[in-house]
Amino acid sequence: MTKAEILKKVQAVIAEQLDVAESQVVPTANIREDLDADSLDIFEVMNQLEDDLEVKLDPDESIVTVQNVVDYIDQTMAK
Amino acid sequence: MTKIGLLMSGQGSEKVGMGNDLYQTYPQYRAVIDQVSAYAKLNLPAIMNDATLLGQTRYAQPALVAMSVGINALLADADIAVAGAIGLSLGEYAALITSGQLSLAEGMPLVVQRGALMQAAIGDQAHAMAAILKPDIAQVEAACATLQAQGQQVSIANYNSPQQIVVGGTEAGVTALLTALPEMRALRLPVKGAFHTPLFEQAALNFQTALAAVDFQVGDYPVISNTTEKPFAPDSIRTTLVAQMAQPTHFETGLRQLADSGVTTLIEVGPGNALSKFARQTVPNLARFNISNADQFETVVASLKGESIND
Repeated sequence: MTKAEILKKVQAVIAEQLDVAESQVVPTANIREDLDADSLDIFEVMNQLEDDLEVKLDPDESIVTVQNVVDYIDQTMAK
Repeated sequence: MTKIGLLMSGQGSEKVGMGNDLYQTYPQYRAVIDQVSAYAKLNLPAIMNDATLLGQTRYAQPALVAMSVGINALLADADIAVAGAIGLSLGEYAALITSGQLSLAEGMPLVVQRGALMQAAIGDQAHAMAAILKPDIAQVEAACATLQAQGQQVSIANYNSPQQIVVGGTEAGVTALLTALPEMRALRLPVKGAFHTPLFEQAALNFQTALAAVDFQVGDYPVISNTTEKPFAPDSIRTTLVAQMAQPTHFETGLRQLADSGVTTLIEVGPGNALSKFARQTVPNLARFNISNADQFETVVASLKGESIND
């Protein structure tokens, strides 16, 4: 998967889980502050991405922005 | 045709500054909050702006009901007709008040008393709750039953959506459950107490006296109970509200029943959008709005009025 493909998937899952418009889910968006997510929201997003991308993600990984999620998945898939 | 169902926020959705712009923008909203403050004998605008006070169950609960009732008054002023409502736990009080089943004058002291009893019941005990995603409910129920037989306090407290339940109990009970089912996707929640578990049975019994003194009327529209999974009925409402404190909530069922009754559009009123997320996971075909601030209120009114012109 390319990083662009991962970003597209991450944007779709975040928009769906947080009930926000996909256009708001830009790479620089701070997931907690800009998209109003709490810890449970982020946990749901990471779990959904695990299922959809068939990758094992650590729920304790520190994630701030949308780009952080993309980078983390990209690194995990490369391992 | 548009048919509206209201979703009323429960505890956990409170936020410092909740409703401030509504209070500044709309005299009708301000009038409701001030009236509610008088009935509750609390300075709610101050509580809504104080993290320490809002962090206490006894203050957070009346603040949340006040905000939901205030937004509902704005919707009523805008001639937005409601066909049914559900509230999550505490939110049921806002729903009962706005549907006319419980008066504001009697309802607010009741809400204050309930919050105080719940806070007192927690005392300094260590309660815990954890959300479980995509749960195997039968497996969780069986594990809880096994642990209960061993003397642990843990049970399912909230059936929120097909994607999420919440378990609650003592710290030891919840830890034992999460250890027994390590493959479960569980996240501990920052909560004050394990509401909707048997840990609140005594508080529920103590609440009976307060409820006995209150009158309930037939409402303008049905409010579906989290506890019985049926609309509240005048003859059983007190029993239901006592049971509600120590028994699990079934918000998912309430959402399905609203949809089955022909509701097309859900409006969540309160400081957050947690209930809209449960709605998306349970009844994705219904339109969803949430109103926490003035911009969102204006958007909802414009969009609903626009629709009715086109009908």
